[in-house]
Amino acid sequence: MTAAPPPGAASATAAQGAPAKGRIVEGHEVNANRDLTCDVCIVGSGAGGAVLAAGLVGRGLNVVLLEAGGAHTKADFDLQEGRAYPMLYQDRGTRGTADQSISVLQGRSVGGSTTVNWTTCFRTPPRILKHWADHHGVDGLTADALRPHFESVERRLSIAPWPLERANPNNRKLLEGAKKLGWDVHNTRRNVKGCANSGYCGVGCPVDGKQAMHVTYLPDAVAGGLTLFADCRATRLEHRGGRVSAVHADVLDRATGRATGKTVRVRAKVTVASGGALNTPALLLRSGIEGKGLVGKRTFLHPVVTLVALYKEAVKGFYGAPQSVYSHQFAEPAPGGVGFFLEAAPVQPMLMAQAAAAHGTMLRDTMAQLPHISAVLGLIIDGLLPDETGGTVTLRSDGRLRLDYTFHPAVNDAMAAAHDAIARLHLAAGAERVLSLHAEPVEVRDEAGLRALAAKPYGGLKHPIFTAHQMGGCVMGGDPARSVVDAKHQVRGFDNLYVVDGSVLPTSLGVNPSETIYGLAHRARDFVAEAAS
Amino acid sequence: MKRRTLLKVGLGGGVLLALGGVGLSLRGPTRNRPVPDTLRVLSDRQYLTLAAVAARVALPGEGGPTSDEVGVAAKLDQLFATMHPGDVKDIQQLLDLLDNALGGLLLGGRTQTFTGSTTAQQDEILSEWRTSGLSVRRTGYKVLAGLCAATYHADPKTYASVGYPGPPSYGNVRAAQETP
Repeated sequence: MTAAPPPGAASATAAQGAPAKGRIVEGHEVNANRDLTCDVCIVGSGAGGAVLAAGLVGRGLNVVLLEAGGAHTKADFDLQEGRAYPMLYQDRGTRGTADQSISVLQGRSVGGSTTVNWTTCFRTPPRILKHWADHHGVDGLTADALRPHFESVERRLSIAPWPLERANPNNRKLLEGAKKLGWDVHNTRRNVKGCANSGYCGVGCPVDGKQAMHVTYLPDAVAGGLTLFADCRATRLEHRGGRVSAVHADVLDRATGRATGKTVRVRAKVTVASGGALNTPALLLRSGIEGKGLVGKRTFLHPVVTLVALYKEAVKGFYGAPQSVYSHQFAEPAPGGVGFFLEAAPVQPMLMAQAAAAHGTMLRDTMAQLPHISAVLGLIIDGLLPDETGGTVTLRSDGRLRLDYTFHPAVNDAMAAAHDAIARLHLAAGAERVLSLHAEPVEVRDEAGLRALAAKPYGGLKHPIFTAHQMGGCVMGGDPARSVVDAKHQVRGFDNLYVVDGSVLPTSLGVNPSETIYGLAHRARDFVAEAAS
Repeated sequence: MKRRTLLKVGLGGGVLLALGGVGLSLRGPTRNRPVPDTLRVLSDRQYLTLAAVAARVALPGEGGPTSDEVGVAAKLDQLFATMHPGDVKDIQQLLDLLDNALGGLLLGGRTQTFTGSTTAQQDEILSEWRTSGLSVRRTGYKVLAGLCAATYHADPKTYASVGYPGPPSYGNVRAAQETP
């Protein structure tokens, strides 16, 4: 390690008022292979790994954290989409399902997806916890049991309701439309402190208003002694007889993404995979840990659909907090159905152009209306039906992660219903017209347009679909035949391997997942600490 | 194209291949724009194909730059150089397929390469790929159109043409935060 002050250590010093005991080591600083021993090695510095690391360091444990992404600070965030997405997202912002039916927005940097998420926070809905207990045998995850954990992370991350008077015009369309239709609608809670209300949460907060992991729990952990290797991609877990003996990682050149040839090996009493849904299953699969064929299965995505709503007045959806209003009007469908919830999205040009998935005059004419576009999202709550399989993570022959997603007919029905709801909402809010994003778009101005919209096909590659919420793949449960980890996050069949991230969720949540992951990681600190002690 | 149609074309394709398909498959690209000498990943032909796609995907809005003026294909080449080689290979294969005259004949009934087609034909081809019954073409459209559209609209030179003032600057806020 060199003596150059690392960004994380500097933040930690500022946050704690005392010199940091640990540090962030960036890839360019690793000039020789490293061989380390510690109490706990964590792979991944996002919502799960960061909260866990801070808790373990606070208990006096020696912790090493490996993060494939780079260490960035607010000074790196110039709010230019063309720079931010390749820098801060998985696969340089191009991740998707194998057939590209779903575009995957997933963060990749120190702080993981919390560096680029839109700050919307919900506790895990009690009905989801009950579903996990009833259908997946998950013990001990009740609203009461989780309350102290949520309260703790809410204090640290300044999670609080965002005042409606600060909602931007884009979110106000959601508010006004829902109110006129008599739908459930509320303001969101956000993890911000000193938020500038810029609207650029998705490309890295320029003023550290977002209380992401790289400005909260990670500096806490570094101040307490955490050693965090950035630009360091875990390639495999070495194990024998149900014990992980080492984590092997390649040091990456941040500019090219290529391995530098230098490696890091960490031998820890306990290893924790916290790389997030998709990456954690892939790491286990690369390590030959298949969990009786369950690793990678039951990956749920909250598939997202949207339409382009055009208003006479300027909406300027590119400015202002991306998500300050939500509606759960359709979250709980009739038995056999799949629900969805409604939130807004920032309308910045690169993201909008990608979402439009069009070319030529259609794309040009849509983009020409940018300041007048409002974007409301329908997020499909997948994974709650007994016969839903959702997505599957496997490995390609060259080791790359492959994600496939099976659209259950009820999910397709929910996407159709979400289109209808979004179109109705915008018309109620005063939109002049609403355009679907089908190859041959439907223009909705009235009931006839809604009928035409209902007649369109729905499903993969029928219209654009996104995901910003990846869940499952190493699911938690009470039945060893149906789950990868138990209710204490321990991988079945292993003495010293845990998974603490969104991949343990047995279903999707029906709400944004970050706070659930924070809360579960906060709860998991005791289990991991006990195993390492 | 329906599966049955594809099978018919596939059967006839064998004859075509024998009669001159090899010649079609070897037909070179149309060099109607300069190729930068700084390419890191793409071949000249792949660059020309991608640039031709970008030109039809991202039409300039009022007063906006062309995709060539933005340098969409060159920027993407730089991006590809930082991606997993397997992902890049997939994209290269898509570009090769798109500009392959034999592939165009078998799948779309055209004998021209994509780069050798008129702009109207290129628009038709892109639309066909978008709604094709073949998943490789639908997927290909999503990849290529998405990359070109995103890269074009990420460039500040395009902002004014879509009424986007650009992101605000927080340099002064950061400076204030960092003042002891």
